[in-house]
Amino acid sequence: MRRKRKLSLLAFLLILAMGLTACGGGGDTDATGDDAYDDTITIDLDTEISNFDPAYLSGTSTSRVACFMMDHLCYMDQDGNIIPRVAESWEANEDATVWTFHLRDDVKWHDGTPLVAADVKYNFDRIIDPEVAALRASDMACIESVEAPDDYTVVFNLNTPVAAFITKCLLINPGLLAQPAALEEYGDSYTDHVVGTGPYKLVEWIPGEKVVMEANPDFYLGEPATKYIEFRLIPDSMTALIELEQGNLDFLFNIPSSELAVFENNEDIRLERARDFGVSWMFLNVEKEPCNDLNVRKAIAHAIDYETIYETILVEYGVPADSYLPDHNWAYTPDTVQYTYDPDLSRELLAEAGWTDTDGDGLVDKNGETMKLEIGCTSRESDNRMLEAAQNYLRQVGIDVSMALLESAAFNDRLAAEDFQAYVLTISQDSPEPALLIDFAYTSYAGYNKFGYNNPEVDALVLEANSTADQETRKELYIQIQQLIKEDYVSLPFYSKYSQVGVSSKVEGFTHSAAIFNLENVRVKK
Amino acid sequence: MLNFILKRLLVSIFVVLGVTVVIFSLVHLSPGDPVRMMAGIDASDEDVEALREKLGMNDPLIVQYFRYLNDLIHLDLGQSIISNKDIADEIFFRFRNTAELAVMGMLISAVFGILIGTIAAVNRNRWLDKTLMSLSITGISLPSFLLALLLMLLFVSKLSLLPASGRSGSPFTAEGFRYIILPALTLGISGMASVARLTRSSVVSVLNEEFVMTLKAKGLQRKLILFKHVLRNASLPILTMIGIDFGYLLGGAVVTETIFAWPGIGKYAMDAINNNDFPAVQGAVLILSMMFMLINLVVDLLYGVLDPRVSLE
Repeated sequence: MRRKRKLSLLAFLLILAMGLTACGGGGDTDATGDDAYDDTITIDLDTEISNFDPAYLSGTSTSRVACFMMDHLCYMDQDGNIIPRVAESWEANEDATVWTFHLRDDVKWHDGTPLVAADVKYNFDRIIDPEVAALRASDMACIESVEAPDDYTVVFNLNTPVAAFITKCLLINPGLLAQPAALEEYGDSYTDHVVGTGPYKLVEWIPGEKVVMEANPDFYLGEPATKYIEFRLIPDSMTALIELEQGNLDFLFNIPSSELAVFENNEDIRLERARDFGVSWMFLNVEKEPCNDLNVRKAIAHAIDYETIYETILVEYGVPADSYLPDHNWAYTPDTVQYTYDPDLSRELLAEAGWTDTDGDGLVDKNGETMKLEIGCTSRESDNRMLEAAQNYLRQVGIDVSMALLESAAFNDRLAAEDFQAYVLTISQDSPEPALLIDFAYTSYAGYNKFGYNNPEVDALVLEANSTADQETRKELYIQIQQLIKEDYVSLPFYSKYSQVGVSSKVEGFTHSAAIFNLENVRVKK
Repeated sequence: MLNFILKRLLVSIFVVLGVTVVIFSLVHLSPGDPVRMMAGIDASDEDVEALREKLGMNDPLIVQYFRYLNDLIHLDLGQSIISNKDIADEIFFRFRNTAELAVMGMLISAVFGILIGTIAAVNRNRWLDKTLMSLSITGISLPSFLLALLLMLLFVSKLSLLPASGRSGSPFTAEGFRYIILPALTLGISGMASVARLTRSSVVSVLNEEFVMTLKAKGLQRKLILFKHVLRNASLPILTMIGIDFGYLLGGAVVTETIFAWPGIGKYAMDAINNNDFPAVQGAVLILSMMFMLINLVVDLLYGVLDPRVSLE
């Protein structure tokens, strides 16, 4: 009797398995138009959408999705050069305080109404309105007022010269253009009812699951090649990789760092790389012991063998960097103080600063106290490995380094409080604008200046570089700035990373870039 | 029985209040400033303060707490700091998904667990029993993320039979079932193992009782003895375990939901914690505690129904 029960259970399971196979696989997309191509491009989303309202939009993932539905006034090409979008041309006055933009006359909101200059004015007035408490309002603090003298002209009056106005103020999240009527009608639920001018319109957002967008047939640059774009929320990177391999995803941004080798032997997927515009650094806090002493900073800088670290560890993550701008930046100069690997020099410099190993424990000390250096780091794998290697080199010259590996909330907390003696930071930059790359951390008032750097000369040069639109003049100034910063030994550049994305081999027409994610001409074979 | 229910509900209110205090304190005392996280590290202090003011987070904690309690009484769980969406809506939405997964997982662990445990008990001390019980130790010891990845490697990567992630409509459809089966198996297998072991020992102890010998002496068929008499008597501890397990599953097995991208409440709570989204964390934990209490109440009631010896007071 029992055996019969077990057999029937087995049979049931077998039938179930067969049933699953029968239901399994198979295209679940209808062909609309071209039969050889899929009508949906599927992309991974690694964290939940925060908010599509440009005033409160935060997070790279949300931004990536939002840029399909809403436009900025300008755009970038693959190399990060600024090109027209909603604005077809623009000019600035001589000292970069008045910027005038001429809008296209054929831009329509997703509901068919035309976009006019007053709409643009509404968006920017709103961001600088203190009542709105927009997340990045202070990035727009330079905007004194916005005028719309006619339907297709917008004028920004700045209270200070900003040479890189477009990159700094227009191409950021709050610069996304949302339809005023939609913002007013939907208020807090604008995220469910996005109305923009972009190549795709919002079809639905199912929180926790996906965002689906549909091609905008009236897009002023022509209807996009593929009808739908779907962003699927897959928080686990391994799961997402498996989905990419199975063909259920066409693009994967959240690649597990330990699995890069998977792309090498797999015909179904490939790894596309592009140079990111930023650099990874170790910042030394000049307001805290021991890095407040220039000789100590010099010692640290020369104790590390950057070349070996690059060749053994960082080579898979990016290219070497020796300055605050990566070497493919138009303002880059190799003509700066080089942080050569010279451990003997390091020991000399430490001794000059009063740090020697008096108690024979292999670590330098001063006045009876051993030097302690805690270096903060997030959980990013490349940063961890880089720091471990640096820690070893520093130990060889007698500096005891402890790594503070923190998850992002705790790291950000201490960073904001300027609590680290030193920290490693890798920030992705999506634009080659040197003002962005220098200004974000190296002026005394910079938002990311959490290491106490205050060099009035640098501040003055930065101001000058922002005050003129002439590229040659700016380049000269940025060369001087790079030289000064390196002479101050306040941060150690390690490498400039790759921006990478996993792509299914079925995808056609795509080129990866750190500046933009554009799918207007991309199709996916079935 | 009505008395019993009423008394328990009254006690529950106090428990819920206690939960709100604990959660509120924990969430506000943990490191990380959600406002700064939203605005970004490089946001100016003015921006951050303006946002903090707008969100009402400048008021003293006690004021914020009572405001929260007031909202709760009006059945308003507040809005997410990150998305501005109504938390009650967000949770309700995801709760259905977690409930589907929990029910499925519970069914798998209950049905197969009881089956395996009974088979083991009836064959006690023979090789079948020993094999099944050893396997069940493996089932209990296997961490859920490992089990999840193994299942995914087998059924998705190697066999390409099932999708790796997501949810596609109701699990009662063929398509929807394909999406839920792997996460449900992940949850079910470890539950199944515990249920099997408990069932085995429970059934064995009932089988040793005198009345079973009496029934056998009376000439009753083995199958009848087993199903009509033994299992019923053995069911109480099993039921309790399944009930508590179900309560735990309803908490949304975070790891499983994350790996399979199942849009449930566990993942929602996890994201809220990572983003320091206070109202969302409070809302999620509160709902989960209430669910847990409700299930415990139901289990206790069922006890009274199933075992006439137990009187509820």
